[in-house]
Amino acid sequence: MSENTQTPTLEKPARKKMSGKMKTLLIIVSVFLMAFLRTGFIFFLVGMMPSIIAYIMDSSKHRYMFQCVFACNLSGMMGFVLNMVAHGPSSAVLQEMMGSFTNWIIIYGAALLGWLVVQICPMLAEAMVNNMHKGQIARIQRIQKKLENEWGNEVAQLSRAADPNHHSDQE
Amino acid sequence: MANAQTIDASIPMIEEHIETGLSDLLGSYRSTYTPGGEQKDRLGDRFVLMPSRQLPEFEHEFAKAYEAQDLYHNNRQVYAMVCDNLLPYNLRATNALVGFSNPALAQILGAGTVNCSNLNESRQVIFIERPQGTRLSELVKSGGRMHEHKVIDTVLQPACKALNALHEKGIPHGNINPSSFFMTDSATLGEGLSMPAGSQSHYLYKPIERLICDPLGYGDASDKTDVYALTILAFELMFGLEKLKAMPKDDFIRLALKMGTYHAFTNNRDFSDALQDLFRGVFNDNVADRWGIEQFTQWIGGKRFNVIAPSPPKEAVRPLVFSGESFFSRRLLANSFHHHWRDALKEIQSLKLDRWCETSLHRPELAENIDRALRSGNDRNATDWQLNEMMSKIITLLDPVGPIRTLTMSIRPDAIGITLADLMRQKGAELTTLLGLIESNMTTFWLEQDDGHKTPDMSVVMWKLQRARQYMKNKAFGFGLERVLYELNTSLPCQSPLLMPYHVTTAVDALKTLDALAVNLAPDTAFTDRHLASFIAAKIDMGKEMKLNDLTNVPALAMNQELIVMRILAKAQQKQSKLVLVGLTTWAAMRVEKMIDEIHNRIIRKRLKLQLKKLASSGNMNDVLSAIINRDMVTRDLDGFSEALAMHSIGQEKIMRLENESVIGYKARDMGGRIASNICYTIMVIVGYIKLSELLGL
Repeated sequence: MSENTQTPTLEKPARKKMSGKMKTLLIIVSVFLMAFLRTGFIFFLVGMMPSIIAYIMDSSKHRYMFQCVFACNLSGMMGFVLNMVAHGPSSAVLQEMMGSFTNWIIIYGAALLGWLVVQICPMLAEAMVNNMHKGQIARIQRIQKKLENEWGNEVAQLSRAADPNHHSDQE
Repeated sequence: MANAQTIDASIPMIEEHIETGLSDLLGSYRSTYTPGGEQKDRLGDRFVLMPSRQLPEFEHEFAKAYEAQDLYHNNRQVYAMVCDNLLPYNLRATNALVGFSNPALAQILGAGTVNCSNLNESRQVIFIERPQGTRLSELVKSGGRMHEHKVIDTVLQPACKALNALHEKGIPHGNINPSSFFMTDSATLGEGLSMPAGSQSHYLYKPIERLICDPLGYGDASDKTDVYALTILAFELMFGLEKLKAMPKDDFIRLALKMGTYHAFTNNRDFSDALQDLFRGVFNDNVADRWGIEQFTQWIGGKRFNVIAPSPPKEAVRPLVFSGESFFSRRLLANSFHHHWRDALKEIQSLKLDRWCETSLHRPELAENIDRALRSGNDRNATDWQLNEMMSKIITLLDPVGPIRTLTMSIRPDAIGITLADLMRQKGAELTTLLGLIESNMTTFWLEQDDGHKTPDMSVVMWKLQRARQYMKNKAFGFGLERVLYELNTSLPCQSPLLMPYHVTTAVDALKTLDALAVNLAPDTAFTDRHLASFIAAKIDMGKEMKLNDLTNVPALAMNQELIVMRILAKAQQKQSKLVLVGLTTWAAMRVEKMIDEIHNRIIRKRLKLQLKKLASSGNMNDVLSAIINRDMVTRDLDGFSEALAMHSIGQEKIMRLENESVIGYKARDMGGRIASNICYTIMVIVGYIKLSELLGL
């Protein structure tokens, strides 16, 4: 397709710096978590590592991958964080949680699930968009056919001749 | 193209071919008019042309002669002159003389368009009572001489009666010569209608100012030219013209110009007093003083005038030397300039012609006019055309009663029409010169030089030429060279290949003929015919160019020449309020049907085509043309088409966007990302809720 075709900007935007508000919020949340979890905050940071990596890697406008990985990652962490909050930040609990391989599988598996969701959904969406577009094209073509019926093939010929992209398509 | 594949083939197209029913309408139409005459070789129910019996003795290059029958008078001997349809004929004289009876004139019994079976086309045919006796030309050939009294009693007196009868009707004969008289006890003057004036007479029968004209440049005859020819005839019958006839034409012209016509013919011969009066009165080189029919009639009646013998035309005190010859006469000098045109052009500035006119001719006004004419060609950048025009003007100034002379032509303005027709007939090379002459103001200049030219008939000719100048500049249909041809030759039949075989001379006949021919010519024959358009335009006196202003937005229709011709035909029909022409209108509708395809909207097209039959059956050309020459309809169609084009283009653009893989990919990623994030956040909320519930023991 020609570059002249008006399409949304598809280029990767420049990496967006975190805004001041977000930084402040992150610091407040981190301070809050450090206050409640103390050494458990380390566990939280290690557990949320997929989200941190996703945030760094996802430079897109809406950061859907980060959002999905973060939401699922946090869902995986939710039980353990709430448990630590409920029972207090003892080293025994922390050791038990960190020592359990299953826990890491749950935490990272959840993050993996988020990543899988964000990979699968666009594929499904593409099929949906394709179907929607085909429907729209058919509707437009019906209108065009009606115009050609009423005004002659000249309408189509002139319309195509006036469209520079038409020629480049054929070429 | 992807979109081409996705067009639903089941959507029906509006039918392109629409049965208008025009062919059926035309098939069932029968015109009551028979073009070119109802019965072959017949004029009405009275005259029968006998094409198998040719009469070579009456024929000439402008008409063929055949035996004919008058069914009303079986004993009458009749012959028919079948005129050439490429040249005009004397319509006014023909109409005036049909049925006119005079014992000294061959009676014109009838005239009109006859469908000639041998020619397979219609022609103007004049039915004439065959004169009895032998032609005077036979007598002249035998070398016999007639006595003065016999000439006066048997030839001049009846001829005078005949000329007077014609003169009363305002018609000159134009072709008096020995062949036009038939002798029994007295002479009968034959017809002079089937040929241009002066075309059949020997040059000696033409007065000097017309003798120097080209064969068809003679112009309209007058009573003076007729009396002159009659006097020459009398001279030939009495004294013979063998010596002068043996002389080359140019030599005779020089002789007549040098010595004067009277001396050239009489050569110091002695005549009776009566004849002396006649010859001195008629062989006068001054046209104003020359005898006309009135003096001639008085002379025949016995009146004696004691006319003084014209003196030889030696006007100048001192001669002007040109080309090694000395000239004392202006007219002789003008003739020499014409015969040595290129030499004259070279020498004209050095001849000091204006000075000669002033000092030798004692004509200061002429000198001034010549000086003015010379100055127009004195410019170094003067074109050949300007130089030739200068020379024509000088010749006209020197010999104002002579014809207009150019390098290749010698013509009177009243002969321009027939000369144009002849040149177009022969595709003559002089056509450009003649057109240049019409376009220039030479004719007006010629008219102004002699008061004798300012006759009512010549004023009409000048008015026509003035109009022709405007028409010639306009190249549109209905104007141009063809229009000039019909304006200057009102009796010329339409030269269109469609109408030529039917000898059409009026707009109504043209319309009726086309109406009758429609069955055979429609729908493939186009109306795009310059002769047809110009002929009709001339007959209806169309002054302004026909324009299709209502169709200016559709160049293909606005410039459609066929539509313009049809509009001219419609205008001609409009002038005849009761003329219903179903055939012609249906033919026009069939042509319009093709033009309707220029309309973009198929619905409007279909509607227009379907109403054509109804419009055509009215027999009114305007009704059919209104179907396509309609500003509202055209504007509506154009606006609609522009809108449709814009809508189609927008749709096309949308389709391209919708087919764009990058757009699809972007939209899919965006939508997928949204869905995915929504799913994940929902999971997070549910998990958070469950875990919180467990923790709080809910």
